[in-house]
This record gives sequence, C-alpha cells and structure tokens, in this order.
Amino acid sequence: MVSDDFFTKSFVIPFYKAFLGFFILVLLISGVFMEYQQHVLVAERILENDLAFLAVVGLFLIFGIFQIRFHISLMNETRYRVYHSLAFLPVPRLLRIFLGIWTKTHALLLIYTIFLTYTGISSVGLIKPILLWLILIGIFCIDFGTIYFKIQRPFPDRVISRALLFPKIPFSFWFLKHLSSKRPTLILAVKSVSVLLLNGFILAFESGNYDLRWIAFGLLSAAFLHYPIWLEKVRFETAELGYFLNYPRILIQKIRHHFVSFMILLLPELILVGLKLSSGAQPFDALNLILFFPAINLGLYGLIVFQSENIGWTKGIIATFFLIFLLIIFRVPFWLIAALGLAAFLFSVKSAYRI
Amino acid sequence: MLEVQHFKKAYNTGFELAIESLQLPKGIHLIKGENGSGKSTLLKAIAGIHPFEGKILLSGISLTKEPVRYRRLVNYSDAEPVFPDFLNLDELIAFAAETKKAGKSQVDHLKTVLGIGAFSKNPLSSYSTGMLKKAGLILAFLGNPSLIILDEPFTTIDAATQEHLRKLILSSVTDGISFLITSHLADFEKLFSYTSILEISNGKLKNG
Repeated sequence: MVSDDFFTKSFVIPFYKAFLGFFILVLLISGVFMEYQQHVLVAERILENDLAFLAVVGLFLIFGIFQIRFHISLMNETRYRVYHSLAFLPVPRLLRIFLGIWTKTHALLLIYTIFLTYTGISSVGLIKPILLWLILIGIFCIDFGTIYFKIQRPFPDRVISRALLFPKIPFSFWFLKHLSSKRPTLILAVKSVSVLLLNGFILAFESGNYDLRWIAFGLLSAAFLHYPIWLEKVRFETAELGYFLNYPRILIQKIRHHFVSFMILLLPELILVGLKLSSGAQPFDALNLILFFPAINLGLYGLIVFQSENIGWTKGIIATFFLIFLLIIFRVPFWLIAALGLAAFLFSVKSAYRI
Repeated sequence: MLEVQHFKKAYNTGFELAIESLQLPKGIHLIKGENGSGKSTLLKAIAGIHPFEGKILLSGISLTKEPVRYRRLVNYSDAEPVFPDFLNLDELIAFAAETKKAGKSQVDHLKTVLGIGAFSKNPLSSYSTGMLKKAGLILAFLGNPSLIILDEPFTTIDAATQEHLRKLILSSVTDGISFLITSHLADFEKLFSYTSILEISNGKLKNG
C-alpha cells in the first residue's frame, strides 16, 4: 500500500508551494503582528456578531474554492495523468487518502475552527463553532465528490488558444506572462505588501518628522520584499529559458529585456513615490529616489544570480540589506548606492551563461 | 475486441479527427502517420484519458457508460511520458501497482526485462528521455490489461531495451493481451507480424 507521504508530496506540498505568498502573509499577520489576546478578542467578536461570523464562513468557502480549483487544475496537467488511476481504488481507501490530503491542505481552517471552538467553550457558546464544523464537513463532502467524479471521467485536453490582443508576446514579457499564469498569488502578495509598506513609510514621512532617508529605507525594504519574485525570475531563466542560453544576444539586448520586465513589475511603487513626492520634495530628490528603487531591485537580482551559483551567498544577501541600511543612515548619496546596485546587476548579466 | 463508432475529436486550432467505424480483433495493430496526424489523439481517446464524441467499446464494455471498468482493461504509455518530478520511479510503480493490482513478482520481472536498475530510486527529475520512456513502459505493462496502447514505444530507448521490449510484447500477446502501437518510423513494420496496419492522414483513418 502506498504511504501517506506519497500523496502529501503529490498534492499537499504543491498546494502550499503555489500559495506560499498567502500563507507567509497569514503567518506574518497572525504570528508577528498579533498577540494572543488580540486573537481571543477577534474570536469573541466573530462568535458574538452574526455579520463577522458570516464573513468567516465566506472566507472559509473562498479558501475551499481556491483549494479545489487548484487540485482540479493540477490533475489536468499531463504530468499528473498517472493519478487518473485513483479511480480504480475502492471508495474506503480513496476516502482515507483524500481525508489525509484534505486535512493537511485545510489545516489553517481546521486550526482556526479549533481555536473558535475553544473560545466558544470558555466564553460565548458553542452554536456557531458547531455550525462552522458542519460547514467544514460540507466542504469536505463537496471536495471529495468533485474529485471522485472527476477521476471517473476522461480528463479535459489541454487546449491551446492564441491571445487575441497580444498574439506574439515579446521576450521581455515572458517572465511577466509566467508570473501571471503560474504564480499569480506570489505577485499579488508581494505587490500588495510592498505597496502597503511603502505607503506606510510615506505617510510617516508626511508627518514631517523624517527626512528623505526614511523614504529610502522604505524603498529598500520594499525592494527586499521582492526577493521571492527575483528568485523566481532567476529560476525561470535558468530552467525554463535554458534553451536560449546559447543564443547570440549582445549585452545591451539583455539589459533592455531585463529592464522592461523590471520596470513593469516595479511600476506601482514608482507611481506611488512619484505622486507623493512630487509636492513634498525637491524634483531632483524625487528623481534620485525613483532611480534608487529599480537600481536596488536590479542589484538584488544580481545577488540572487550569484547566490544561485554559490549557496553561501544567502548570508551575503542579508548582509547587503544591512549594509545599504547603514549607507542610507550615514547619508551616502542615493545615486551612489544605486550605482552599486546597477554594477551588481551588470556583472550578473554580462556572463554568456546568463539570459 | 475494440470497436470505435462515429468517433470525432475536434480542436479549436481547426484540427479534426473523424473515424466513422473501426473494428479491431485481438492481436497487434499498428497505426502509422506523420507527426501531428492525430495518432496520439486517437490513442488517448481509446485509453480513456481525453473525452471524445462517439462510441468506443472494448470486449463489449463501453468507455462512455462504464469508464472505470473499461479503463481497468486498458493500459497506456505516452510517446513522451512526463510524471511529477519530485517522485522516484519506485514510488510511482508502487502507486500504479496498487491501483492496477499488480504483484511484486510482476514488478520485479518487468524491472529486469526493461533494464530498470538502481536508478528507480532516483527522483524522476534526474531522468533522461530514455529513462522516462522506460518508466512509462513499465507502468503500461502493470496489472492485468486486455489492451496495451504504446505510443511510439521504440523511440528514445537503447537498442538492447528495444529488443527486450519486442520480446515482452510478443510474450504478452501469447498471454492474450492485444496491442495498439503507433510509429512514424519506416522500418517499424518489420518488427512484428501485425494483425492490421492502419494509417492516419489529414484526420482520417485508412488501411495501410
């Protein structure tokens, strides 16, 4: 009999990998920004207020929809076709396998429902927690039914259709296309946290208690939040664009392709800084900071390229963050820090073995 | 044995494969055709992997009406097999063996015949195209199928394995298993004494 580990590797780990950004965000908010007492207060509010409870039910259902949609699309992939033969297993065995997968992929919902039940026992009451458990059982039954009937029938063909608006995607846009189709959650999570964080820094700056170094520090933090995206870019270029490594592309072409890709991805932060600083700072300072942000990101990408070739560089990247922080503190001109970032980027792409 | 009626499969790219009627008795059947002619499309439909319009029956069992019962009798090996690359071949075989009720002795025998040695413990991500092909082939022979569909089985594997595979197919035929094999290679017709040779061209099937 195949072990649970086999199904965890096949269905649970890919789920958490695909929604990594979301789970990091949840952990960050619930584990770092909130204390236990705040969790208890929120739980009591959910159990007392019908609207809040309905909101939680809605979130549970949205999570359930994302989860089942992910597993359906995973099973439609050619490499997962082997799992079509799950249909040959007896229903009790299939149920046991699916229960194992389901409890692991829905661990977040289960843990929160246990917490709400515990809060209900000690204060508000158990009606709503019991209702939530019934909803969870309902989600499980629908999920199992969906998968059960799916594996009975033939799987849909992978239909390739041409985009009407952009039938030919330029090379610079390939990574963006990859992100939007394969890692939408990653890009959404990183961009939303980055913009929110930067907005927080700008709001504090507008109080008048800080100088431009505060904004630079915000931009530095926002740039390093992009680390998972640049990590994915390096992986994408090494693995999926490996075929193009021996293409005769000159350095200027490479720089242009990277630059377009970076600028599109960093546009929200650049617009935010440009708009907010256009009235509150000197034009030269605003321009200086607008150049500073992409340069730091390009430099970070360069460091990740070195890291991909030398595993020890992970510490180097953390050290770089603090080094730039110190350079900002000690009033080293932003353009000089930007120049260092650009140098790291140029050094990483000039190699003939890089895209 | 295998019966196909009013078969139609159309794609939004404009390609369409249509077979009005096809009856194949027990034995080894060859389907020839150029790249992109629709051979794999037909095989995947017969294997119950992808949907289609029409009727497909194996020994009277309808793929549309009793899909699971039908699929238990049909095994399939892809022309270019791909699997989850985080697994190793032993894990994949163990899973397929459980679903297809294949015993340990059958697994060991097939591993020996197809020359799958210690590399079955390595992750599939480290496999060459030939090794992936062997992985697909071993899965296709597991269990007790009535029909084994092999899409381009002899491409990418080494000469010794090609010969072992040829013998394995012949011995399986004596056990009552039928084969549906495709190829675009010209010298492929000499390998077996085929019960029938068919050719797909421009989405239509004709006797070769």
